Order: sequence, then C-alpha cells, then structure tokens
Amino acid sequence: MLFPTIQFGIFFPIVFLGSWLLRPFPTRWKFFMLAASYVFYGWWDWRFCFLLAGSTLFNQFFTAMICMARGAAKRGFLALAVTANLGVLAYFKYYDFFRTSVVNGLSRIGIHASPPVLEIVLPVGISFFTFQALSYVIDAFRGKVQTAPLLDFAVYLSFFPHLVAGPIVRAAEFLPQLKERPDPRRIDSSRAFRLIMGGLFKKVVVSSFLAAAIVDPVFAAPRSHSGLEALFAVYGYAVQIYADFSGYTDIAIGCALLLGIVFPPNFDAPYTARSLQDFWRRWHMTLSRFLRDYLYVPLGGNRGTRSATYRNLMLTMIIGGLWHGASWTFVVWGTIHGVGMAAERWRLDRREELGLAPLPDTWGRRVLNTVVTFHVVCLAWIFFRANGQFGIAFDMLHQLVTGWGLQTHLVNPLVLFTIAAMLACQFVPEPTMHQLQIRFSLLPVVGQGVLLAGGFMLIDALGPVGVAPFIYFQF
Amino acid sequence: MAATAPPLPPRAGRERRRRGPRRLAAGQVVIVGVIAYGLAALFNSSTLLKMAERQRLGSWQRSFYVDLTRPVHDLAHALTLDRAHQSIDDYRGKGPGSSHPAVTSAALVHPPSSAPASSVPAAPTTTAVGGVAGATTLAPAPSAPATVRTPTSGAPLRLWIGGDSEAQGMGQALEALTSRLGDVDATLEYKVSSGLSRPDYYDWPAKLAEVVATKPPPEVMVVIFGGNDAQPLQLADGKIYDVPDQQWQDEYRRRVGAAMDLMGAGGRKVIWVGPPNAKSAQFTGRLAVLSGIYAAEAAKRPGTVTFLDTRTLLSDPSGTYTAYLPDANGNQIRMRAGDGFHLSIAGSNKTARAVLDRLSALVPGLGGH
Repeated sequence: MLFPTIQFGIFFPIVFLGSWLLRPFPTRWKFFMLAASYVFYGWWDWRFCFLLAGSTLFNQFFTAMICMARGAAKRGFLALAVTANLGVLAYFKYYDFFRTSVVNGLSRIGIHASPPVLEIVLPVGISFFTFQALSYVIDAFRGKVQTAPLLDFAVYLSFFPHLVAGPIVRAAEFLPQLKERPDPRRIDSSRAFRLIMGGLFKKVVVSSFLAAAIVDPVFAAPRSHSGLEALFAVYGYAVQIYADFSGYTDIAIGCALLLGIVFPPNFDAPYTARSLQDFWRRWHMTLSRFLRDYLYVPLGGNRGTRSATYRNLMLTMIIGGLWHGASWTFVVWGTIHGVGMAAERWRLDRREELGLAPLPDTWGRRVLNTVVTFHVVCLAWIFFRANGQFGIAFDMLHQLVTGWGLQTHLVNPLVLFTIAAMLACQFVPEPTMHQLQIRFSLLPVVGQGVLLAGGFMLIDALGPVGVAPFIYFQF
Repeated sequence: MAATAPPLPPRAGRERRRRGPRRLAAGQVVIVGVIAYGLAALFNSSTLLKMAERQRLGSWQRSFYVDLTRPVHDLAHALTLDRAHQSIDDYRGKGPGSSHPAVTSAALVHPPSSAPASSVPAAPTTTAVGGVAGATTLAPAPSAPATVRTPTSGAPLRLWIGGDSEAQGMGQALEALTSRLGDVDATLEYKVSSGLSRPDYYDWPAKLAEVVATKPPPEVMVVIFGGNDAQPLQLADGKIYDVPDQQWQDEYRRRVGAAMDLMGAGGRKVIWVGPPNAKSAQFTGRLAVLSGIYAAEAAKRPGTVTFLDTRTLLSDPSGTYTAYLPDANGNQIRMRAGDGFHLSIAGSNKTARAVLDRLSALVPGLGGH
C-alpha cells in the first residue's frame, strides 16, 4: 500500500482509531498493530508476508540463542544469524547481479558457465527490514538489547510506517516504547501534520513534476539534449530524489507520531552540507549510522593506521552503494562518496601532520564548501540515476562537458523555480519552521482541519494523476 | 506481559503546554481529520469521481464508488467548493479527455526542421466512441507523399513515440538509440494505465489528432498499446462487453483501425508495437485477441502500418512467456519486470532495437546508412 493513495487514506484513520482505543490493553494493541502491518504489507503481494514472518521467527530464535549462549557459541550464533540474513537478502536482491557478473567475467576468459536462471521477485522493503533485524541480533550480541517477547519483536519488525522504506529504526529505540503508554491527551499532532503534509507535497508534487519535466526526458536520451539541459536534469534529480525519499520518510515519521511512536529523524537539510562527511550526517541518517555502527566500526573504523581508515571509509561507502541496488553504477556512486570522504580525511590529516592550524571558518569558505559538496554529490547522482546503464551516465557527462549551448525548452522558469525553491528551503532555519508549527498548533481544531483540507486540495490539483512508486522502494 | 498499560500521568499544566506546540488529544485529532477529510473530499470531488469512474466497467467497485462520490461531487459543485481545484486545473491546461496530460519527453537539441510537412492532419470531432461520451472520432486526412525523405542532421527525421506504460521504457530506449544516429528528432509521450479501451481515462484518439496537427508534424509514429486494453467496454447500446465477445472485438477493431488511419494519413509511416506475452496464461490469451486485431488491421494498410509482434520477440522459442532470454553472447538476460508483464531495461532495449530495424527499413539513409 502506497502512502499517497486513497487506500492508505482509508486504512490509516481506521488504524489510528483502533490504536488509541486499544492502547490501554498492550497485548491487544500489539496484535492489532501486527495485523494492520501485515495487511499493509500484504497489499503488494500476500506471499511477502511469509517472508516477513519467517524473518521474524528466525531472528527471534537466534537472538534468544545469542542471549543464552556464552563465548564461541555466542559468536557462532551471531555469525549464523548475520550470514542467513545477508544470504536471504543476497538471494532476492543480488542473485541476478552476481550471476550475470560471474558469467560475463568467465566468458571473457573463455569459460562458458550457465548457472541456473531464477525468476526472483524482489519483495518490497526487504533491505530495510533485514537491516532492522540485523540491528536487533547484533545489539543483542553486544548486550545493548535483551531478547524481547516475540510479539514485541514482530511488531517492531513489521510496524507499517517504517516497513518498506525506513527510516531504519533500531530495536533499542523502538522496543522500549512498547512498554510505555503514550498519553492520548497529548499527541504531537502539529509536528505530525507538518511532516505528513510536507512529505506528501514533496513526493506528489515536487518529485513527480521534476521527473516528468526534465529528469526522465534528459536521462532517457542525454545525447539529444544540450549541456544546459543535462546540468539542470542533474540538479533536478538531486532535488527529485531528496523530495521523493525524504517525503516518504517524513510521512512515515508523521504517521508513527500520530500513533504515539517516535522515530529518529532521517534527513536534515542535506544540501546545506559543507563536506561529504557532513552530507552523510544529514542524508538518510538512519542508514549512515547503521553503516557506521555495523560496518565501519567493525572494520576497524579510524582506530588503525591512516590508510586503514581510508580503506574502511571506502569499503563502507562501496558496500552502502551496493545496498542501494545490484548494479555496478551503484558501486561507482558509493566509490565517489568513499573516495571523496577519504580525500577529506586525508586533507585534515595532512594539515595536522604539517602542524597547520585549521582553516578559518569564513562566510566565503562556507559557501565554497557547500557548493563543491553539492556538485560532488550531483556527480555521484548521475551514476545513481543511470541505474545500471553506464552508457547513460557517460552520455550525461559527455553532454555536460561538450554540449554547451543555450538552446532548451525543458529548462523553463517553473523548473528553475522548483529546483531553486527546494534548495533554498533547506537553508530556512529550523526555529522559523518551528514557530510556524506552533502558530498552526494554536489554531482551533476547525481551523487546523480547514488548513489541512486546503493542503490536500493543493497537492491533488498540482500533482499528476496516479502516484509513481517511491524511488527507494526498489532498494 | 501486563494485561493493561500503566496509568497515565497527570494532565500537563497550562504553562508547560505553552512552551512548545499545542498538543491535541486523540479525539481532537479525529475532529481535525474528519474536517480535513470531509472538506478535502468536497474540494477534490472531481478527482474522486474520476477515480471512481475509471474502475473496471461493470464491476461492483465502480458502481459503489460512483454512487458514493457522485453526491459528494454534486454537493461540492452546488456549493462551488470545487472551483479552486477547477481553476488550478484550467490554469495548468488539460490533456485530452483528462485533467492530467501525458508525460512528455521531447528531445530538441536539433532545431526544428524546415522540411515541408509530409501530411495535413485530420481535424478531430468530438462525438461518442463506443458509447463513452467525450471521446473523439477521427476523419482521415488528405493524402501526401507516401515515402519518407532521407533525414540529415540539419533536418532530422521527426519521430513520435507514444502509448501506455510500456512506451516509457521502450520509448526511452528508442530515444537513446536514435539520439546516437544524429539525424532523428524523437519525441516520447506516454500515459501510464492508458490505452484505446477507456478514452474516458485518457483520450488517445484526441491526443493522436493533436500530435499529427503539430507543425511540423511527425514523419513516423511508433505506438504501443494493449496492456490496459483487455478490459470490458460499454458500447452504444449501454451494455458492457468483454474481450471474448464479438461486439467487443468489432468495436476495438474499429478504434484500432481509426487510430491507424489517423496516424497513417498522408503517407506517414506507422510502427504499431503489440504487447508482449504475460506470465499469466489467462492474460496472455486476452492479449492474443488484441494482437490478432492489430496484425489484421495493419495488414489492411500495407505500406503504411508495420506491425511488430513482441510476442515472438520476447518469448521463448515455443512462444511462451519467459522472463529471461539469451543475448548475442548467449548470456541469459532478464527481459521482464517482476510483475510478469512489463519490460525490464534490457527488454525495452531489445524491443527498441527491433523498432529501429523497422524504422531503418522505412527511412532511406537513416543514420547515414
């Protein structure tokens, strides 16, 4: 079930009412929420529910084993659980990719292999709930969480707002909330409404508009477009993917908030970042900290030599790239970020080595850093958007470098305004938005309802008919 | 596990509440929701009614949703609450038969050709098609030269590609292929979930008339339809017919023929791409009826319409659905999306290459060859 649909518009009020009516009865509430989440997930394909249920039972069993075992057995259970989770993910997500890569690689050296062709359907959200399950298992091994009751873990893993595209909520953040009883008299409704309406606007209006107006046409045939159009298609894609993904997670966080569950933030004005490291503190924040805590740190983090730190940064970002999709263009995307972050680290290390003082934090340097970071991120987005087709990525780069000319009919004032406005919005300080939210919250309930209705009308009138799937569903 | 949750804390004091945003009780949120939903339903009543009417003809869902949304629409109209939405729709401009235009992807690095138009387009007349009001019937256009000129980079071939969701992937692949030739100016316009069966959702005849009326008009048109067309039709007698019915096939044949005549008027070349087989045998059976009609109608218009049957292109040697096919090196490549019907990027590329082969046969000297 997609968020911006009539089905979800009917589904959510039912869940909201049921949730608050059942809140005084925790067990009934959990069963209710579990059922609601499986309905939400099964709406795509009921068979996916078995995978989710299987993952729940498997990870609960292994977490219990990890908590009971000691020494090598404990480590063995962890290894088994991690291997099995990643194995399932690899089967569904990467089998085709590895099969094709191996067959093509072997054929180049004269060996013709033909591993079986499997018609695998990628279950929606598998990357997200597998990562959440891994966080539970690993945190249990590290002693950060105890084995939760099966029902609690099942609710955590399947909770529908975060199920298919995040944010990646950790067990340690979610499970304690199941023990508390949120106050039905004090729902953080204004924040929830802000997130939901803003998310809908970003997804339905901004993302859809930019995709249709410039991004899709130019990326479909870069050689038919000028360098100017290619440049704004890249800027447009940077805004589109931000609007699409942050829009989805904003709606998810808002819906959870209305149900009395708090999720961690997932985006914090990422295009204001002054370095790639800063970017990853602001973009898909829950994935960044997952990769940091469960990949970068276990690899050694920055505890070894400098070259080991650079290697760990690179590896983390390359694997992060591969998580997004089974294709070499995602590897290139991750490599650009990895190389960039390693270069930033090297630069700092080098200054320290030479005994140079940190560069002064001037206005000009801040602007320069922000602009450079944004363009490195945009360069990487070209490979991300190419979705496995290096020809498209190289054609885009070719047009950017050689296709200069001012002829265009795709770069129109509305496209420019949308891109500029969405980027400018990121520089609006949070206290300003918070003040607006407070003003909204002080309106009488009728006024709030009327404003929200106006928002729904604008979103419907400005958006296209039907809603395209969220970009991040495929990851 | 406790049967009931712990008691709630005492109600927060007034001063504490004033520091941040005011929080609402669940009951107040329900009131906000009821007002927001109720008013939004009135504001967006035209969208809701259109969504209801787009449901499958003859289904209980359609009757239910139409019965539910029509009074809301009538009330909103009486109270003029639908005016704001309508004003925005009018400002944005309407697509044919729909308040939402098709997605357009036009490649315009090449300046518009100064070559003479190869045809004079038909003027559409709005009447009823198949009992669905608001659709468009088409009068054939006068004749024009029956050959396609040799394009050059200065005067590229004007190629138009359109259709349903399959047109997106195939069209983009074709745009990419033709962009490398240097003498093709391709325009892609597709509309997801559309076809020739439901002009009340998207009126393709009107759109095609608009396309051939552009100055200068396209010289070759490529279309793909069918994926959304194997559904019931309501005909002039008010009855609903399904694909196996002769009346359905007669009416669909008439629509396909009319679309081919419109596009092919004046010697313009048309490449009609049929839908591929589906994983579902039942769906494949229904699609086969459509492909039979496309093939027969194309055969009636030799020299004008070329039919490309993707069932043979994208199926295994026995003609049945397969998600994987070997490439030139014998590697098994996934041709279909996970839904068992749509084309993957590789499938789109394969289809686009087949279209390009047909195009090369129609256009002398395409790509300098």
